[in-house]
Amino acid sequence: MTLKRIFLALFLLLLVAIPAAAQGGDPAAELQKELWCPICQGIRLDVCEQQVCEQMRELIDQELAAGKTKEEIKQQFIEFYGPVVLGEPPREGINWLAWIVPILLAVGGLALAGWMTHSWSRRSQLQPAPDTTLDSATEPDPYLSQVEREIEDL
Amino acid sequence: MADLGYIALALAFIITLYGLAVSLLGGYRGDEVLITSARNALYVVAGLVAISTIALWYLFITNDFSIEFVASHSERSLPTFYRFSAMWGGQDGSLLFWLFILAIYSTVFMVVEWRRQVRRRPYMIATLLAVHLFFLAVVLFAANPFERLWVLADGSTQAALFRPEGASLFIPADGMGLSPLLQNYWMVIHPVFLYLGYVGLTLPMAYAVSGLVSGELDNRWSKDVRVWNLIPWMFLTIGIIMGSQWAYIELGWGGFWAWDPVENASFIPWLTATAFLHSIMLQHQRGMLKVWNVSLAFISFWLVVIGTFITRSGIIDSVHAFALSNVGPMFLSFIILSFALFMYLLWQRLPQLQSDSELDSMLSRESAFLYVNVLFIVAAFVTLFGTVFPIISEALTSTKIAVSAPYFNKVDGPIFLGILVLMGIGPLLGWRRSSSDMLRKSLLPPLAMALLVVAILIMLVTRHWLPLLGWGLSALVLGTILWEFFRGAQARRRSTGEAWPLALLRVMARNQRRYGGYLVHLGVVMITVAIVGATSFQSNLKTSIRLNETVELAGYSFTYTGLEQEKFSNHDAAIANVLVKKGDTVIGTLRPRMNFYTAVSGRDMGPTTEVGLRTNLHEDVYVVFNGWEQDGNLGAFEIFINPLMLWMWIGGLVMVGGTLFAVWPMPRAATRRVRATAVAQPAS
Amino acid sequence: MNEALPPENTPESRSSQGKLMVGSIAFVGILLVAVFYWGVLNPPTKRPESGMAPLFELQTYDGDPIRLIDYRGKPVVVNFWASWCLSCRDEQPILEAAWRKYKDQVMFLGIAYLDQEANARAYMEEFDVTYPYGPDMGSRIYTAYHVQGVPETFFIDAEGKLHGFHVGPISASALDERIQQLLAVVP
Repeated sequence: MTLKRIFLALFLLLLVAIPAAAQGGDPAAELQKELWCPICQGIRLDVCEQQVCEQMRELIDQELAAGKTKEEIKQQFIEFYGPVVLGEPPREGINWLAWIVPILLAVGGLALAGWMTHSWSRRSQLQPAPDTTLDSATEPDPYLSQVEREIEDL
Repeated sequence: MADLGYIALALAFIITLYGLAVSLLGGYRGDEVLITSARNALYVVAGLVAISTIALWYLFITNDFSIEFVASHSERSLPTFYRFSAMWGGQDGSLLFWLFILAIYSTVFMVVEWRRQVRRRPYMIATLLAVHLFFLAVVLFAANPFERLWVLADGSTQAALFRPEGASLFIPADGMGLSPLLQNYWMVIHPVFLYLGYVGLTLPMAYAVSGLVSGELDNRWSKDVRVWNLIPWMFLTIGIIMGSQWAYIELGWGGFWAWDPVENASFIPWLTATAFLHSIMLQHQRGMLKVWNVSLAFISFWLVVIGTFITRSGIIDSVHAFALSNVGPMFLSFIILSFALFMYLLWQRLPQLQSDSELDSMLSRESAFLYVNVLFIVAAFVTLFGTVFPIISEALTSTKIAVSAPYFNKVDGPIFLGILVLMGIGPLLGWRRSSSDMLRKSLLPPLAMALLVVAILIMLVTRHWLPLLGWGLSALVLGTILWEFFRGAQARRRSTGEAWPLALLRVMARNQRRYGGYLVHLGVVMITVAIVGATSFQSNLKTSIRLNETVELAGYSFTYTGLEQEKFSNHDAAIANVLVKKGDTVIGTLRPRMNFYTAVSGRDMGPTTEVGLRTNLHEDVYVVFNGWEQDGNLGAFEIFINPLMLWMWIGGLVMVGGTLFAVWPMPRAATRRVRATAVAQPAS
Repeated sequence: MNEALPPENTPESRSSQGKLMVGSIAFVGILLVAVFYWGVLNPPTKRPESGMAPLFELQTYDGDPIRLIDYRGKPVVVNFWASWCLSCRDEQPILEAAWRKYKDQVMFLGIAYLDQEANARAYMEEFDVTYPYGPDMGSRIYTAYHVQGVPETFFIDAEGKLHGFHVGPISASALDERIQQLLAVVP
């Protein structure tokens, strides 16, 4: 099937293309986008107008000039300003909860739904299935009849 | 006037108590006289609440600064327009406004439902009155906007309803003014829509609860409740989108959504209400998910109350949070009581809430609805969890943490992508069961479109996985929607021989709900495209520009051409002129401004910024003016290029249009409904 | 979302899936309410007002270690400030004047909030501040005292007990009154 081949080719292209996405740029600008204003509500450092942020941006430039790496500066900021600057709970201690609970919720919820659909559909396999092919055979177009059937249901 | 407002509220409180007792008694005895009396009590309460709201507006318009709430939220120079919106500029007034909207909704609701829901109606009245009772109690006893200012014998001032001993009335010469951030037309209008959405979610809850109490638990409510959920849902959508528009042009940080507690408080009930309007279709079509639907109707309302509690009680650090008052504990009591009562009712009725039918296949629209429901609920609770997590964390570690965009993007982002996947596949699945062969066949065109779009994007635009994924899935959903429209029109054409446009219109008009839903999906796709574009490809530059000098960003050049000053009734504005060019073509002059509000009462209000914005379908040029030095010879600017932002607002309009299309009463639909009740009996 | 019934169930019984459903809603609801209840009792705006002052240690910009517990027997005025804070400038001369006046009876401590050494030092030198001051690493002290913004000042008596706090810049007379109250407590 040619269509399948086209899909396959496109898919392979994606696989090749995505890792090729290059990164790199101004570390100061990147850091400013990764750190958050410690006294505002959800304002990133690079767009923050507070005095504190002004000082923090200056500090980033100084430390970079002094030869520190991005990671070192980030650690230094967390130690000095507190984990607030991350804009997210740090992944340590009790704050792991913030990361685990959503995953548990999502996995648990989806697993529950999966289990339910599975057990329901298995149970209904034992009962005679409603014959949906019959009425569509009498209608001129299966899709239209499906739509019309749904209209009737309203 | 203040006395009138206050007395109206007090009377409303008493009549609410009466109506509540009579409606329950009437429902219990089946006494129509009592039930009618309770309904009339509800109408009278609504009238009294309206009187009291108008009284507060009157006090604002006439500058009655002896009223503490007016004095602290208005001033003589405040334009009349903003004197109306000053009501929701503070806690006390916004609670009264909430009550006002509840009163309007309740009245309309009962007028419509009175004849339709004979068994439910006493308990509908009782539920609505119970909600009234709570808000009346809060407004009367904890956050009364009609309190007056008094000078006590020792010279200090105090706000109280009645004259404290030895005190005399204190009338300040002028008010303290309205927060400048709120002096923006979006801020006038968006809370109204948010409240219309919030408060409206009381109605599905009243439906669910009255069903549980009266024992009318059949599937009919899934049809009747639809419009009462869709309309508030639509208002909530408008409110959220307008709110982000306000944040976009007024806060001047280039973004539109900060995930702050106030925004989350409006988004969380939106998520559950969206889940509800999908899952209710399962009950409608198949008689499934009965417990779940009843619970969702309640939970959406409950989350509205919780959201208000979170933002008003001061349990979370937030710019909007208020000082400690009795409002927090009162809300918490209501949250606990209503939850306990609902759980009790649900438990009692559990045996009668059994599914009429079962799932026939794992591959069916039912299961897609089920999964998407799970995702919406998980998104709602994860967002709620993140919003309250600082409380938990600080209690256990005594270290301050922040939970904002990086967190929510990481945990909610994947969920929303999952929802997009289901938006792409779900509509292609039939009810009951689909063969995987059929799915493969119908999924082919949308999938081909998505892959084609991704391929084009890789070649021309970006190789970043995030925008590729976001836009790719958007293309998949778009493909599905277009394919559905095409197939519907094609099928109709085949059987009637109508021309394409006519066939499309007819098939849409014959199935408003289905195609209205697809239009809403289309709006969601547009918003997704905008969000992905604006967050992944934003360019920004923070810079100072000398007069008549130029900076460049993303192919545009910006020349600072001058500074103007302008005086308004209650503020001065400094307006920078920035000439924007793309290449050699002049785009125009943007006029970002800073507003300096004259703080009459010595309250430092700080300057606010209003951005200069040039928008088109492709990208927004967004300039913030942050100040100047040397008599305006040097201006401080922040410039953003936000790609595709306009699609966010267009998408919002399309969502609203789709909802209106889905609920718009058409004469033909009415006759159809009669037949539907006969047909809707499940096959099993 | 799980109220399908095994066919053998009689209509009057509660299905196990229904029970599971109600149970999980109740579980989540109760957890939420518990968090809110705790939050209402301990709002972030509720600063400690009485009882023992939370202990802390810090290092001044000159490198001297400072521990609150070392000042037992002497009242302590703890001032949270920052060089980027404009209204702190209003009260800084007042604090320094009071310190010079009560030096022998009362201890003053300046705690810099989210401030960098160079800026903080320049600021304190500008006002010629002579009482000890140092940075609050990771804002731990700030959090322990539930401070909501700078400036804020806390008053601790000779026994290490808190005697209230002042939000915003303090006036000379208010500061004097507070210190007199502290001095009235004799261990």
